[in-house]
Amino acid sequence: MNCEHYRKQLSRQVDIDLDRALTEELEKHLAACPECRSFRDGVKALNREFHTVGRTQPPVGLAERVKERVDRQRRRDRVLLPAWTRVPLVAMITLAAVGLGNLAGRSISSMLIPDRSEDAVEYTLVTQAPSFADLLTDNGSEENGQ
Amino acid sequence: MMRDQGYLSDEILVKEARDGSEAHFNALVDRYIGLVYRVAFSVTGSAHEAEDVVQETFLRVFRNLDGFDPSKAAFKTWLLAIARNQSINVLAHLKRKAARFLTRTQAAEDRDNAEEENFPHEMPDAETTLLSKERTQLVQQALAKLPEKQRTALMLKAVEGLSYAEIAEILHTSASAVESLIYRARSKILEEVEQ
Ligand SMILES: [Zn+2]
Repeated sequence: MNCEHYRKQLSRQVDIDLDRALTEELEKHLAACPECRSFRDGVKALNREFHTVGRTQPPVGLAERVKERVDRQRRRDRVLLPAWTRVPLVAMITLAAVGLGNLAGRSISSMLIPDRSEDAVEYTLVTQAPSFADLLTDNGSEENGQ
Repeated sequence: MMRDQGYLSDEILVKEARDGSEAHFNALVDRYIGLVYRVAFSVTGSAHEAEDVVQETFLRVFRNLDGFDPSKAAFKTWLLAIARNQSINVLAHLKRKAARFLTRTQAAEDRDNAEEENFPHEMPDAETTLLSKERTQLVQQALAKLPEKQRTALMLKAVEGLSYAEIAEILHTSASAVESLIYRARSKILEEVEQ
């Protein structure tokens, strides 16, 4: 077996099999091969360095800016979206009302434009949400919302 | 605004956020902003670009939350796949920009190397107390030279502690491919640093 074979094992061992003893074969090779020993020590040192250096924190205030921007989008959705979804909603409500024969004694407009229509409308919208795969192949051409 | 959503599982936060809860969406932002930022920073090599990627990523998550299928992927890997995809787009843009810049004038090359925001990497807020600054710099330079996929795989493993399976999902590859990406990344960095 060549060194690359053993080094792959060592790399893996550092990641997932830390507690497991090395195979006898690997032990033997390490005892005989200073290059692979140095690779093992190097990988361990690198991991320590990544732990220390790698945990970069995002700039202060970024989380708040993200939340504000999403919230702007949320508000915009509430204002814009009902306009083009009202037709199916109205149709549904009308059908339901007709089906129940429950029109008597109530103003039609109060049924067609319920106070809480915004929330209801939002849920009817998202039938066209992209799939996971669409998202990942999308080159960011959609509007930025800004 | 934000109360005690911090202890809730991703699944519950996602479900509530889907149902319109701002607080639960914000809890997801708080939980994952560091991870998304580090992925973006690792891919683009730019703190400035990483901020934009973070914004775009969460906006995209918000818009597409209804298309997220928990039976197909964990929220974390779905989110990080979006973050990486956004970052790759930005990186491609930065590279095109740098290439145009280079072809414009030969003399620009040195200046570009000196000014290039993209590479070499310098981790902001790095704690360098335990390590020699010089070695840290060598590691970061070697890291920056790696192909993006190797760099991201290594970072997600060594810094974030994700499993090979999770990384495979984010990179759209197999766990054994991830293993060898990480192995090659380590070999190259060690070659550069220890020569
Ligand atoms: Zn060997």
